[in-house]
Amino acid sequence: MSYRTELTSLETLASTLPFDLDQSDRVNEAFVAYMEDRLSQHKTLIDLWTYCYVRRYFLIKFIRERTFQVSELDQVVEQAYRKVESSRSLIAHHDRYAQWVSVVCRNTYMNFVSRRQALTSLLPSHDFPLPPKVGSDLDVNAGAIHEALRRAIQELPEFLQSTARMRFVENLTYEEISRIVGKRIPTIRSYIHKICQRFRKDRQLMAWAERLLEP
Amino acid sequence: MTFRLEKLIGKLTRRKSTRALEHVLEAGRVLVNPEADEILAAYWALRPEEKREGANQTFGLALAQRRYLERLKRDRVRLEQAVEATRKLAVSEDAKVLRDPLQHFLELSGCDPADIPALYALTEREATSSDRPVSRFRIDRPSRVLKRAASGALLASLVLYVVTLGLNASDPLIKRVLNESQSQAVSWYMLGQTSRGAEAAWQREVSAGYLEAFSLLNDSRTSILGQFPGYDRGRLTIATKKMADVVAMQRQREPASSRVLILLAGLYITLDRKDEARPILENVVRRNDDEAERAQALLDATRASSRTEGYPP
Repeated sequence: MSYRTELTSLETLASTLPFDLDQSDRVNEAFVAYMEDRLSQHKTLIDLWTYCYVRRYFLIKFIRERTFQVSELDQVVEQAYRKVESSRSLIAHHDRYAQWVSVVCRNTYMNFVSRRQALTSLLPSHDFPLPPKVGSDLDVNAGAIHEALRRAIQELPEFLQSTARMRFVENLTYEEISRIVGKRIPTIRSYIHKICQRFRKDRQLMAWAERLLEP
Repeated sequence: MTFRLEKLIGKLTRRKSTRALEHVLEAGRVLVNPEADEILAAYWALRPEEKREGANQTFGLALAQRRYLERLKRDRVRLEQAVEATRKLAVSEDAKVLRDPLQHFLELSGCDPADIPALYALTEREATSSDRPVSRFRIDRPSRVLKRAASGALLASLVLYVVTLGLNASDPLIKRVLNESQSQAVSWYMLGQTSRGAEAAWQREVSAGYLEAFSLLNDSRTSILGQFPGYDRGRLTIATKKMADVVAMQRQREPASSRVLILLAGLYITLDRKDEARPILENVVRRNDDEAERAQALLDATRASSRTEGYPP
């Protein structure tokens, strides 16, 4: 099976989920529900999201790092999935499940790359790349973080929403926002301060924030 | 002393929280930042196509994707990056070892495939107020068409269930064959995927046809307060006609999937039009592919029921 057909099947499988793969707040809600009632259907939902997320995570990494063998994809997906499955009942914050899964994926990926590098360096001639910089996994999680930010903006009072969108999504300056909304710059500055205060209380956004701060 | 320490801890915590917030706000913009397109080329290549029915796209992500596609039109370098990411998805020599995601998932999780089509219904029923976007973002909710497409699989299960009853509910072979068929429904033909890498416009046309057929199938469902599921015969006839038309359209240029053919035959059998079902099933049997056994089982069952009813087999 090629990456292309793999993509189509993964898309199709993910489309059976009632939400987008990047809607971490919905995933977390579903996980909280599962931990409370342990219904088999909630379990299936969680399992399916986990599988699709893990698979997409590694598929993106494999597409970016062409030197990996396609045959390794299934193995590493399986490894990460098993890790998640065996430890998820122990996590402290059920409402941060999606972010926790992304950490498991990152750690599995780092181990995979290190192990692979150790093995390949034993070969006589190797032109294998250095382990890729994993960083904050923005190549995989940019969508989920964008979605968390958008949701956080939606939950702001109406009068702050447009300012937040212009500042934090469109990346406009205070002057530009001031011109657009017809308010003085100090007012805009005060709005932004209020917005940031509220963002600090947004659990999903801060869960991603903590994830980004991890080494 | 304690007071100063607390003040210092408070200051450090605030600083950490500010730094964390800065990071996440910056990351939240990455998706719409033209400078990050190279990093995100694989992510976008793996996103469902914007207008593809059945994809659970959210408004924010769909908007960001539209921006990305618009940029590609104007920027040759980015377009090349995107093409390169897509090219990497192309067939590779050693790629045949990968397992089908659905099968792999079922093996890993041990989930019952029958539970998968019910996922959409499960969360729709339990949708909380947080699912309903406030103010202007109402467009964020899945459209009716998407809901219908997703629940098409449920109907496929229902139809196959009805077929099972119509044939012989106590026949374990038929039951097994149909149960297996319904588990596949959600993964493939719900979206009307063509079997080959046909041109995009053609594939879209066929997909749209299948979606409409499944929507019609969905509309033919009936129940009394959610209980006693059944179907409206008139609407089911219209849906069957649509399904037959789409299959005929697809077959002008490429073979239709055996699974779709079995479903179509199942619809004919449900409508007691076994004469039309038989050639379809025979066709699948002749193909001698993975579905041949199921088709043969259904064929045998239709012949058996015809004998019982006194019709020639």
